Parts: sequence; C-alpha cells; structure tokens
Amino acid sequence: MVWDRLPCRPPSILPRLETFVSVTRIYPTMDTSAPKATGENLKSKGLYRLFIRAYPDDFHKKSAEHMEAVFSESLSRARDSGRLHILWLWLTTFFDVLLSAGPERWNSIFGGPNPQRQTGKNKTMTGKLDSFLQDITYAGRMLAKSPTFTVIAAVTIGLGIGATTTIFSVTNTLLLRPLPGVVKPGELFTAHRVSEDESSFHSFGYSTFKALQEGGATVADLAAYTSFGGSVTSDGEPQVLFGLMVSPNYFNILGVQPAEGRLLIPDDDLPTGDPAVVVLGFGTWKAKFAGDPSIVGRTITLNGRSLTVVGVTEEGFSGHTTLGEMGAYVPLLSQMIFRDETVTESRESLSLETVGRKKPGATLEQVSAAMNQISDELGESGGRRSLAGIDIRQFSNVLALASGPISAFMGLLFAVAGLILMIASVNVANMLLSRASARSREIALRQALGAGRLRIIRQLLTESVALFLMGGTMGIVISFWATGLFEKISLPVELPFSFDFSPDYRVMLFTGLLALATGVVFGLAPALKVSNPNLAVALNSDTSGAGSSGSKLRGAFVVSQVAGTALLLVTAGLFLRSLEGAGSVEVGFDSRNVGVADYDTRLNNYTPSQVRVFFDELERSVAAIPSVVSVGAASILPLSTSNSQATISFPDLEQIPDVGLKRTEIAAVSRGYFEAMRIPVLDGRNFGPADVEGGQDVIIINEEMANQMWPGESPVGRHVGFGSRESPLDVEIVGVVRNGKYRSLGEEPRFMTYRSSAQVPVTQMAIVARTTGDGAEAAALIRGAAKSIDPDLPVAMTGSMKEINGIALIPNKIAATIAMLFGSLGLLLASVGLYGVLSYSVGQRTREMGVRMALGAERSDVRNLVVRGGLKLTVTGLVVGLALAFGVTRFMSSLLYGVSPMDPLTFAGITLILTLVAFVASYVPAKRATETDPMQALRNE
Amino acid sequence: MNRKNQRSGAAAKMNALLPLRPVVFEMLLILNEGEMHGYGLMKELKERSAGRWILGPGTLYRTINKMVSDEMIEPSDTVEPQTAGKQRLYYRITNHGMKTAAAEASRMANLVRTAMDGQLI
Repeated sequence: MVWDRLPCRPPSILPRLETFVSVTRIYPTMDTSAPKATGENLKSKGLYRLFIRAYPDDFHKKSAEHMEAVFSESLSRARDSGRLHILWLWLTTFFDVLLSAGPERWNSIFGGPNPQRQTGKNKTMTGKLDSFLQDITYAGRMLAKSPTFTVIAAVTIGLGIGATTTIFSVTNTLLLRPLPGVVKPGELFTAHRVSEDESSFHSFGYSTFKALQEGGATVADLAAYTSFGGSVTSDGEPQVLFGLMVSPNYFNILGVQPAEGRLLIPDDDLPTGDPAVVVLGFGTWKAKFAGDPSIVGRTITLNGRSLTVVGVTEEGFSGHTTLGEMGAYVPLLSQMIFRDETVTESRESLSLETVGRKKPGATLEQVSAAMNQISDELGESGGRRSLAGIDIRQFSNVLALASGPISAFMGLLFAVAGLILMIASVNVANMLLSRASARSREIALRQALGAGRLRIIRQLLTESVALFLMGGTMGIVISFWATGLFEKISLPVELPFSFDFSPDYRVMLFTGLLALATGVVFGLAPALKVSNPNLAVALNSDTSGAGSSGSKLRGAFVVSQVAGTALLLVTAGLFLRSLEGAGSVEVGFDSRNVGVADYDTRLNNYTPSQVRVFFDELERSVAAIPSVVSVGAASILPLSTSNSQATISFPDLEQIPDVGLKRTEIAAVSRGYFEAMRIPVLDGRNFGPADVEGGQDVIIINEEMANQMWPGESPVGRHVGFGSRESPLDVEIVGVVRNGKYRSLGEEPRFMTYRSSAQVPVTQMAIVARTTGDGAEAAALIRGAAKSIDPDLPVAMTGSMKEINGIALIPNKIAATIAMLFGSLGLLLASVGLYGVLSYSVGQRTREMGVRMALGAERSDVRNLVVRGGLKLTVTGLVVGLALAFGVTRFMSSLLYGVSPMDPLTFAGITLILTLVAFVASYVPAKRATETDPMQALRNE
Repeated sequence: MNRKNQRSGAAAKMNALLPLRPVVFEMLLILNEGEMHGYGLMKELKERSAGRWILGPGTLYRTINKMVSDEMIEPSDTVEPQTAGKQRLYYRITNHGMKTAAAEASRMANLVRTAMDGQLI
C-alpha cells in the first residue's frame, strides 16, 4: 500500500535504477513512422493551430510546429482506435492547452512562475493573475478528478453547442462571410425597384441603368449585370455553365483582380459583339480548361459562338453572391451572342440587376434620394403605380429577394438549435448543482478557513466555464463533421452553388463567446446556491445537500427542459405531418412514372425554326419508344424552381366593376402535355394541329380562372387580352383544365394559363414522358433520344418528376430532419435530466422513505410518491411548453402543408410521448426507493 | 582553484534542480537509453507509467523546453523526415542531465534503503 504513495512502483523502478547507474546504452529509436496526411487531418490540424495561439509568441515560435506534429500523430492513432478515442483526445488536448498555456503566459508577462519574486506596482496585478491561474488549475484538477462527470457534461454541452455552431456556420457562409475578392463590401449597395409591399423586386432596363449610373455626388459608380446559362464544350462533352453579362465596370466596382490576363474594359462592351470576348471564372478555368496557362488569347466555344478569352478572375472570387458560382463573364452589350435580336431591342429587353459603390462618407439614404430623383425625372414609375420607387440596400451575400426567406429560415433553425442548447445547458447546470451540493462540506470548510463567498463563486464559475469551453471545443468538432455532411447533400439538378460551410474564425469566436456566456449563465445559479450553505449543518453533516431550495431549483430546471422539449417535438411533429401531408396534397397532375429532361436551345444558339424542329423531333422520337405511354413538353413545369407570370385583361367583362388586369401563371405547352401529366380537360378541347403560328391565338385556362371570372358559365369561346391594356394580344379560350399547384404546395388556388408552344416562340422546354417504368428511367430515355438528335446540346435539368417536385420541399425536409433530430435529442436529455433529479431526490430522501415504510407505508405508496413527483414536474413543463408551442407555431404556417399549426393530433401525440418517457424516467428511481430497507436507512442516518 | 569553483558551481546548479519532478526524471531515464523525438517521449512515458502519464503536446513541450533551458537535454543532430516535408526534432541527454538523473536516482535509492531499514518494505 505504501508504494501507492510513491511516484513509481518498486517492481518497475528498481531494475531501472540499477541499469541506469551501471551502464549507459544507446538503444535504437522506436519506430514511429509518420502517418499520412488526410483532408480530415488537415481540418483538425487547423483547429489545433487555433488552439495553440493561446501560447505566448516566443513559446509558439519555438514549439508550435513540433506540438502540431505530436498532435497530428496522436490524432491518427486515435482515428485508428475509434470515435471515442478521438473525443477523448480532444478533451485531453483542451485540458492540456488550458493547463499549460496559462502558466506560459504568466511566465512571459512576469518572467517567472513565482509571484513572491514580484515587487512594487506589479504585485497587485500578479496576485490577481496568480489567483486566477490557481482557479484555472484547481478547476482543471477538479474536473480531471471526476472524468465520467466531465466527459458526460462536456459531451452534453458539446451536442448543444455543436447544433448551434453548425447552424451558425451555415448562416456565416450564406450571409456573413465576406465574399472572396470583393473589396470593402461596406461601401457597396444594390438598387432595385420594389413593389409597395416590398414583396417583389424588379430589374431595370438599359436606359434606366445608364441614367442611374450618373448617380450624382454620392455614387462612385454603378454596374449592371444579368445572368445567363451557357454551354461550353470541354473534353468533347457539352457542359452547362452559368455566367453573367456585365457592364465593363463590374469588376472594378467590386475590386476584383485578374489571376491571368485582364478583366473587362469599356472597349469590350461593343453592340456588335465583335471581337467577342469572355473572362473566365477561376474555378471554370481550373475545372473545365485544366488551368491551361496559355488560356489568354485562346478561343473557346460558348453557346456555339467563338469568344476570345481575355482573362481569368482571381482565385476565390466566384461572383458577387453566395448563391451562384459564375463560370464566365461577357460584356453586357455583346449579349446578342445569346439572342438573335437587334441591338436597340435587346438593350431594353435586358433585365438588369445593379450593384454600386458609394463615395466614401456617403450614406444609403443619400444614395437613395439621388437615385429616386433621377428615376422621377425619367418618369419611369408614372405608369407603374404598383412600384414604390427605387430601393437602395446594403450589399449582401445573397440577392435582396432571397435574403428575407433565407434569414427567416435560418432564424427558425437557430431557434431550434438554441432550444437544444438550452436543454443541454440546463442538464449540465443540474449536474453542477448536484455535484456542488455533494461538495458543500468542502465548500463550507473553505469558507470556515476564511475563503470569501465571492472567491468560492468565482472558483465554481471557473469550473463551469472550463466545462462549457470544453463543450464548445466538442461543439466545433461536431460542427466540422456536420457541415461536412451538409456539403455532401446532392440535388437532382445542377445548381450554380458550391458551399464551404466549414467553420472559420467567426464561428470560433461565436462558439467561444457562446460557451463563455452559457458557462456563466448556467453555472451562476448552482454557484450562488451552494456558496451559501449553513456552515454548521454542512460541517457536521456526513450527508450533503443544498436543502429544499436546491430541490426547487432542480425542479425548475426539469420544468424548463420538458417545456423546451415539448416545443421542439411539436415543431418536429408538425413538419413531419406536413411532409406526410405533402404527399396527399392534390397537386392537379400525376407525377408517378414521369421523367423529365429540360433543354435550353440557346445553349447551342438555335434559330427559332431550329428550336421548333428540335423539340418536335424530340417529342416524336420519345413517343416512338415502346415503353413510353405519352409524351409532352412545357416551358415551365409545375412545382419546379422556375415560374413565369403574365398580365391578362377581360374586355368582355369590363362592365363588371373591379375587373381590371389580372396576373396569371403562364406556360407554353405542347399538345401531348396534358395527357402526359394526366391533367384532365374539363371543358372545351386540348390544343390541336390547327393551333399554329399565324392562326387565331388560343389558350387553355384552369378552372380557378373560369370559376372566378365566369361563374356558372363556360368560358370556352370567349376572348381575353394578353399584355398591357392599351395593346393587348387577342386570344381565344378553347379549353378549361383542372386546377393544380404551380409554385408551392401551400399556395391558394391561382390563375393558370397555357399557351400552345406551336404559337409562341420558345427557346427552353422540358420534355415530360410517362412510361411503364419509373420516372428516372423515363428521363434517361429522353436524354438518349436528345443525344441522337444533337449530341452537343447539354441537358439543363433532368430527373423523375417526383425528384423535380421534391426540390420545392427541400427546405421543409431540412427543417423536419433537424427538428426531429434535435427533438429526439431534447427528449433524451430531458428524460436523463428528469431521471437524474429524481434519483438525486430519492438518494436524499432515503431516511424519509425508511421512516415512511417503518411507520407502515406500503412499497407502492413510496413508489407512487416518487412517480407523482416526476409527473408533476413533467405536467408543469408540458403545460408551459405546449402554451409556448401554441404561440410560436402559427409563424410556421407558410412552411406547413395540409396541416394546421394547431394540429390537435400532433399536440396530443407529443403530450403522450413526453408523459410516457417521463413515467419511465421516474419509475426507475421510484423502484429503487421501494427497495430501501427501512432499518438500514434509519441506521445509516 | 578556478576548476574547483567551476565544479562547485555545477554541483550547486544540479542540486537546485533536485528533487526532480517524477515526469522529468522518467524522461531523463528514457533519453538515457537513446535519442528520441517528442511524440516518442510522449508514447514511452505513457507505456512506462501504465497509462498514468498522458502528456498533451503543450505540457510535453513545456517540460522539454524547461529541461533544455536547465541544460539537462539538448536537441540532437538526428534528422528524420516527417509528414509535409517537415523534420522531427530529436532530443538527447546532456552530461549535466545524466549527472542530475544519477543524483536523483541516488537520492531515491537512499530513501528506499531508509524505508527498508525501517522495515516498511
């Protein structure tokens, strides 16, 4: 037993001493071959590098590289041994940094570890620092003394902080992280026309842009841009490429530099488009042209036209929004490369978005006043009463139109993650309270020896903050892993997005502050509670406890956990019911067995006649495939990512008040479309072979328009006007089809108008084919047929109709998955919390239980007493949580389909689940209470 | 006289380091058997202490730096390529380190003998 007190046990020390004193040998060094670096290793090393910035500079300079190498090797070994080892490594590393960086800092400031050596004015400072270091060291020791407690608490906090950090990382990438290559984003602004209710944003025509460019004294410059989809041929395969047509000052305003060659200059922006030039994005240059060093001056084929590459944008820059990685930039006026229109028409047909730079010191209000004055002088808004004027906004990483919905969605996810953090933190606060209560004798002793209450509180807070910081470290590790998963989500369509969600210094800072704040907030209550024990009672008592007020605090913790969990589960339940409901929402068409392939003929520069020939031939070829039941084509598919609207007037209804211009969804479709999509024609007829260009323009409307405009009558044969009231295009209604969902599953019935694709110029059409097999196979058949007609035309979007429609549900699926995941986690944490509190309470009340049973109480009475206690807390939490849910879920109604935010089934189900879980969590300690031997319990006291 | 002064100065320096921290003593014992790099030391310490001494990189290099500044160990000329083109830094025990470790060992041996005389073991 005595050997236990020595640093080494005798069997190991004595032989070694003999060896040492007698001979000195040189052994070959052990084999510690270095493991190979992997991507994950690099990420972890990056995180460790951040950690070791905590050391003073001279230490860092001397040892950082070696420490990194040692950590890297430890990590590789831990990886081989499993996830628990990785977790353990991060926890011990955190302690290691905490316990070694503090003293090193102290030494670097005061030149030595001994505060007694310090004299004069530094003494007070060193004394404070010394006691702070003592606190940290003591906290480290106390936490290391109970590794099980420490690991469970750190993992619990890690889950909560990890959830929050992950959501913050995504928000950081989408909205906060400055875009690479963009200089001084604070000076940039965007200009739009907005509707009075700010629900829609409108672009500018070319002449308006030119006028606004003379923005007066407050605007340094204004650039215009519009996007295009292109096709470049690389390695013989046509590939889709997204690009921007930009005014030549675009790069200058953003501050982007070229990586190769030059960027655009005013001389490039020629209406003739000759010579046609292009600037490639860095990513495109690397991926599609293998980083060809002689790219400048090379001619590439874009949309079937030859363009000369004049430069490549700098590395990192991929456009001015997060949601759009641009591969190529062409001058604005050379856009006839993409459209066969005359220059004058094409200028005004452009839909231009703008980005500008303020002059230093100018405010957004001044810019807005200047822009609106110009706009008023132009008289642009005179005929468009629905538009409120020009809206100037601070430049942001996402387009103004998208920033609202994205912020709202991220806000929802933040709220959910915040709840899980609250539940996890409360659990740990509860653990801290129980642990501190158990230490009340130690604390009382320290107080009796002269330690002030503030000193005790500071010590306990240091422990809780250290614990939460460890949890924060875990959280960052979790968020690295979780954001990696987000990046791997694949979509059925190729989108111009590429995200790097990995946490950066902003996320680290956020997590650090969050851990610090939660550590103080959730550590304060237990610290205050146990730092004020009754000295005499605590010192004379073998048992420990913070008294009935401690129980009340623990009870309050459980109530808040159950309330938070109830709120989370109701949210999750509603989303799940909504997704279930989405499958049963009547969408107006049958997406089963339907495949889609969308082709944009502008990508290969087709003439209008070639377009028609291509789509006709494609439809015929697909129809000839034996497994194809029916085939059609549409310019816009329902519940896809695109939509189009038009204005419609009703000349024969003008005698009725309030019938003016109406907005309608619009799509050009072929004759086979309704059959392929199984949209029944309810009145009149389908488009026919006679409905061709040059004949009477005809349309088919949906029953919503028919019922609203001609209630009780048939609209077939009536004429309506398309376009402005002054010069509308006269069209005849020839049929009425069933209503459907066009933009979202949750939308109210809206007007829909179909035009015959044989009567309107179309450039892009989606071929839809119904087969006897599944949708994906049908899509492959269409692609095969298209390839045989034009092997160079890339497919813009393809998949089964179900997949295409699924894109609209992605936000809901993400929200449901996250809410479900966090809800389950919350349920687990809350049940563990409840179990912990009841177990603790049973432990504290052993004597009481013994007395009750000694006085004749039945075991079932004792069991019921404990279970009742647990259920009382649960019911209180449920009442609070469900009341909160009633208040909160109404704001989610726009994200819910086919289910009310107050869905009684969800509320009842969650109540049942939580009650059942609470019963089980209460029953286990209750059963233990009944196993108490009354005599033993009384003797122990 | 001068040499005698030097000897007494070295002895004073050595005595000022005693008693050694167990981990420092163990590291001297390891390095006495051969040169080793940081990770090797960390692993060997863990093995020899049956998992009781698990030093993180920070604590390890704090200890190493202190031992270097106390002239008990020094970086050696041994070079071994490592990942990312970097090289591992090996450490070896100095004469001063050997003498200090021997002094510590003698101190401990005396203690053990005293314990045996008192029939504690």
